[in-house]
Amino acid sequence: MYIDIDFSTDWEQEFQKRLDNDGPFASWEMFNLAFEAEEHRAVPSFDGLVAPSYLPNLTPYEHQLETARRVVEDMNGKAILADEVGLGKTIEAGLVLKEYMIRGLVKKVLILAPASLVNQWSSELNEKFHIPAIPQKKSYVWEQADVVVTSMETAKRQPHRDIVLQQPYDMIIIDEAHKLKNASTKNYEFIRQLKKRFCLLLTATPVQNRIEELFHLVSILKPGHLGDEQSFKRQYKEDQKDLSNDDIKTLVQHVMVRNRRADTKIDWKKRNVENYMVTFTNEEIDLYEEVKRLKDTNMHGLSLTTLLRETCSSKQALGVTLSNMLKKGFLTEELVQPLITKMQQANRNAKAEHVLKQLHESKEKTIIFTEYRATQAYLQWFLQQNGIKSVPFRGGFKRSKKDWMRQLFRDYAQVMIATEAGGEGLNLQFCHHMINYDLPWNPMRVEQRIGRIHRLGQEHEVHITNYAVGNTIEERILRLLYEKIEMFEGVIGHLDDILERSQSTKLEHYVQDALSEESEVIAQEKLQQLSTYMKKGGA
Amino acid sequence: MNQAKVHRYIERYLTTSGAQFLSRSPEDIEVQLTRELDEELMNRPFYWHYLDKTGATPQPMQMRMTTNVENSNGFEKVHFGSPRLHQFFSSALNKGRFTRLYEQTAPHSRTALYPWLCLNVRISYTCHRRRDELRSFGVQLINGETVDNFMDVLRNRNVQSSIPEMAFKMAGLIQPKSAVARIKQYVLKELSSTKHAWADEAVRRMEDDLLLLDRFYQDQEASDQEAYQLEQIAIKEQYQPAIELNFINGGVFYLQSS
Repeated sequence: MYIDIDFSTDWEQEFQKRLDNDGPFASWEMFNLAFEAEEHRAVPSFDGLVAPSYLPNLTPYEHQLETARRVVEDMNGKAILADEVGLGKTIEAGLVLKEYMIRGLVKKVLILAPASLVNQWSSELNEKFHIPAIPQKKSYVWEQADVVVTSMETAKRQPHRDIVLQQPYDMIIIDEAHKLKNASTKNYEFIRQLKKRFCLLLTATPVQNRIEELFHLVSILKPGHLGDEQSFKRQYKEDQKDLSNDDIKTLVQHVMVRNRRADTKIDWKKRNVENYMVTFTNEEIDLYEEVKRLKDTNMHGLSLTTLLRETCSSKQALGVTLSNMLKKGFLTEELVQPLITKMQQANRNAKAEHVLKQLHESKEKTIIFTEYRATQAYLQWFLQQNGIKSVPFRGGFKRSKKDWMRQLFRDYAQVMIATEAGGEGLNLQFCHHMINYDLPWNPMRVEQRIGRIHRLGQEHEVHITNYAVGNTIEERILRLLYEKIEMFEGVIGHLDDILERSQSTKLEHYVQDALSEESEVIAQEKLQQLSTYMKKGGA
Repeated sequence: MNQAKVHRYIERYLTTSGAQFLSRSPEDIEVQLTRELDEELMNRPFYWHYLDKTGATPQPMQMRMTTNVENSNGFEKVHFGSPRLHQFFSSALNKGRFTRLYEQTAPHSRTALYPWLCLNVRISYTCHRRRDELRSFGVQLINGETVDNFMDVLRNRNVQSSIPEMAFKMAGLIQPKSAVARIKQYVLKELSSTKHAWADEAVRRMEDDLLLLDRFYQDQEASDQEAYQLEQIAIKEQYQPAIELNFINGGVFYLQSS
């Protein structure tokens, strides 16, 4: 028979001893309680999930339960959990882990998370799932604990590395797994060497730039599932020609679950969106017109667009780019001089002033997003001058600084000014007001921004104000793109189908190209194409 | 397991373990632990070590629990899945492994009690998934009669730790350990004559994955041989069908003939 059959024999030996020694023997009640305990603990069926019955205090969403069920039943415990940001991938992973632990199939577990999330992971597993996870702080933890949470940086460093590589794990969970997109990195090589039976990879962005990234993630789980790398790429290229990559899509769906906001039955808090059209001061108008005049030089259309966008943000943002262009010789002193004069004359920032007014009136905790570092610094100074405390946030901050800023914002400052929406674990559920000081040209990035506050756990309706300066390029993008695609209603959720993500870098170029179009009609037509595409979810 | 059942289970466990109830309601349980229970459940070995060294008076702890998860009285909330209840489960499984019990007979009647071996077994079918089956066997130790679902029989009898005054035990002809061996054989025979579709399915999935693996590594260099083997082992471990037999508990029961 090909099935192993194991007996435990220690019971028999001990039983014989008790008979020989005339006891001790259990009472009927204890004997019965023991059998009842086993009746309660026994797993009655291969299928379905038993974990929820162990977790009466956890109320998972339907999509989370369904995901856990699919991972266990259909994917044999090897899966990429790729829900959109804020849908609770940690809960899904916790459910899967709990399920395997209850079924006795998993005992030794390694969880690799970003350093700043290590404590959060272990406390969530303990509190929500009664899984005794321990953060790796001392070296003896490796031996004493069955469920260890640590960061990739720690695990791959000696003396931990040898311990981790030598230990066969029943399950490995990797959070923010998109960091493994590149197969030629040390991290990737390290992960490939781990001994694992079951494995979960968590990422909201399984493909950031190139489709190979997905190939590499899948190869960690199930080498060969997408063939070998060469044939995969070939296949993908061919598929792209006739615009259907159904084969790959189907294969990927066997190892990946991706829930989108729009598909979940969650009662999301409402998004209230207001557009505010700023009127420039006369001096700002002069400056804007002066920048526009650069068109008559041989300046590239895209560069001009950039300068115009910056002018709408702050003269400080404009100044940085101008000085860079000067240094690189793209502009001459002669051309820049009149601009500088106008900049000096423009001593008020109408947009910033209105933001200040809004903040004074609402008194609410608010996150402000801008595209430009210089604007970020200016706004912080400007608000400070007017008695409003703010903290900055950038993707480039160290982990500890990010955590610190988040905490300051939560407990102390009214405003956070951020230049980047990305940044793992930036959960700002405690804030429900957002100002888009200027809009990125890639709509997906706006969705990411909104995802910071409009996520599970948000208890209030969220309020988003989009600022745009009237009669400028900003008004155009707001009217032509954002109002059309209705993204603020949450419709856009289904745009970022993961295979289309590989094309999302093209998106911004497309928008830029369309908006630098002289003719309103042509620009409108081009953007019309885009919004149709996006609303259909790219299908 | 609903909260009422949880509550009832805890009460029975603590009662039979000798804890003293300070108060009880349909939701809350407050007990004074015995020293033995404290040592087993409260995880404070240093305290007991210290006590033994100094000879101070032992002060076992009290335990306060509630089975109403909405309750805000600060009592420990216990539900199915909570560590405390599973600690009680483990404790009962540990303390209730072996027994010898006698059926109570009508007073003043000389009644014969026949020896039975009871053996409760958990059969676990495991591969990348798992299912458990609980079986309860009884073997009469004189004539060898074998009964399934023996716990159901026992639950309908009044059995206790001491033999009733006028009752007398019939001597067994079969050794308890022979009876255990007989049950093992019986189970094995049953398992090998059953069709295990779950195992076939697991092997099919294993073979699929191994095939993919081979394809993935077919053009790779010899240096990847180690990685290949690692993956191969992992896949086999993931799916390998197995059946585990675990003896939950058992004992000798002296029963009236029915």
